[in-house]
Amino acid sequence: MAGGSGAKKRARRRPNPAALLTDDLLVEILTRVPYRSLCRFRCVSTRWRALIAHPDHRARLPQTLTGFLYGTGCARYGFANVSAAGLDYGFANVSGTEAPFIDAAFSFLPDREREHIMLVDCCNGLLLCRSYRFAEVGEFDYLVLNPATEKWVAVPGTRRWWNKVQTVRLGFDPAVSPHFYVFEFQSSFDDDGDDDDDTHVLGVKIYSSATGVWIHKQNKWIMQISLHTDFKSVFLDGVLYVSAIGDIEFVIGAVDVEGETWRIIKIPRSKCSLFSETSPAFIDLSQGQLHLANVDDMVGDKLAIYVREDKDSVEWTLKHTVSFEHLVGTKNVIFGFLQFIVVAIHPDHNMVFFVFGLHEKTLRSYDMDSGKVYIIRNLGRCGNEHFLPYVPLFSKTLPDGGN
Amino acid sequence: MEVDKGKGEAEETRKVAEADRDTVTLKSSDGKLFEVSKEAAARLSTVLAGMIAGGSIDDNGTDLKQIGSEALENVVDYCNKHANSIPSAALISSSISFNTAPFKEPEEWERKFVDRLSHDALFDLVEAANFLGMERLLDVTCHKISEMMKGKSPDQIREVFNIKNDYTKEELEEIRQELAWAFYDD
Repeated sequence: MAGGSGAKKRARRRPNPAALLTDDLLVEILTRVPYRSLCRFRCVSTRWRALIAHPDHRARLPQTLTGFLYGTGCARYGFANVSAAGLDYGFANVSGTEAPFIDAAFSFLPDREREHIMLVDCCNGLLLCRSYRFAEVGEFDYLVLNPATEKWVAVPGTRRWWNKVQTVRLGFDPAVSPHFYVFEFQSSFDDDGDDDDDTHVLGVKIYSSATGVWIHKQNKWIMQISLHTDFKSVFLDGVLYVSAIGDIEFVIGAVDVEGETWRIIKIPRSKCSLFSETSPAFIDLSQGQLHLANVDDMVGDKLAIYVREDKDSVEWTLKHTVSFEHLVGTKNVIFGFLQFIVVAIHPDHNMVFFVFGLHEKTLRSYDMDSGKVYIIRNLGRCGNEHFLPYVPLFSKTLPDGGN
Repeated sequence: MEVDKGKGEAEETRKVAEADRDTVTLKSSDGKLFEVSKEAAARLSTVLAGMIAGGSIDDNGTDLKQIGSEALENVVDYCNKHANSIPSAALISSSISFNTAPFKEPEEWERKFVDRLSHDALFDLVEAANFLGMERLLDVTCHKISEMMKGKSPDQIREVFNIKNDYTKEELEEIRQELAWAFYDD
């Protein structure tokens, strides 16, 4: 190659070509910047802000956590509610501003579907619900909704409520495939209604929207484990990660979409920990890596955040610790339920979100980089401990067939 | 690579019948002529492919009035380099892994190719790639620009893009507040 013949340069002085970019090209470039930069670039000019906010572009531009769906009614508790009458969900924006980013009444749904709906899970912009819209009591089907595009689709086939099915999760990753998976775990829950001491997982039914069928697989975890119904799960690389408790300790269970590979990931322990037991572990996906939050196992007065740096490894690296004193003003908390619940680790920032309060609950964020704690919103007396972080998905990836 | 890019002075020298030629001649907005492999042009540019198929290629230099000579030289250079390079199998297979955007990371030579460009030349090349429907070149150049933008403040971006800040102080403050939780200083 003769090289770039620099001699060709001439005194071409027209305006800066960067300033002449068309909207299309600018958006083409902006689709490639990380979310955090995109956020900041809204301040560049009114034109840039309008481009970034434009509905035609949102489908292509990166999105991030906008807020949390949560149950607002005290009567609604977990998933055991069979009658499921009335819909009472709220949405709290992470920005703390008043108008909720999505309409948690799901008014885009027909009345019948809307009035008999129970929110089950949320994964990368799609919501999984049970819809008790049939005449028969306890009969339902699963609906998958996209509140951003107001599209929804029903998983074919009706099902009956069964107390052995306590944990249902949605697996969906639009970066990989437009198809979703529903994981329905069956446990050894005792029909007599005795204490639910022993509710270990027996197996899982997995629905794939690609094949349109359910498959059933026996549990192959090497120990008996019970799942945390109220903790968020993570779907990553075709594997669902769920927070669980084994015989004596808390663990993370992992199962792939084929139901073939079952793995147990131990949660981190310090060598010289004085505690005989670990605390429940909250897991989430942040900056592409699996993160875990629980109570430090040395003194028990700190929130500890770990990251799994290598996705094939079972090793955790301690990323950050912060005292509960700093977060909420008390030295010790009831972690994992009732009083202190981690609800998300920000998908793009070193930030953790938690709900604090025994009765009056507040949603707060903690920035690991700046150390700042914000009270985002007072949630009042919400009885539900189930908070679903929500990242909107504007592309029309729901398979056809929905409304 | 026998097909080199044409020099500006290469006009009027080729009288070979079009059917026999394996190159096409392109003319920049400022009248310079460049030669590029017909095969590479058709493969890399949807617009050139259309012109070749439709017979609207001019032996004496197909007019590309929207593209300056510097950008066109880079386009031709890219086509030639692309024809020369063997796509790395490792790169292709690794890009299919989960959790990555469909965009394939630039290969080493592509990275070098855009890295040596001046700021203005890079933006001109984006426009040219867009105009000629060169998807891969558009990808690679946009990727480069997005890398330049990462982590920059709005002020720095305004400077790079020569943009006037048309916000009022109050408006700007409002946006910053809206994003307060995300907008910590680096």
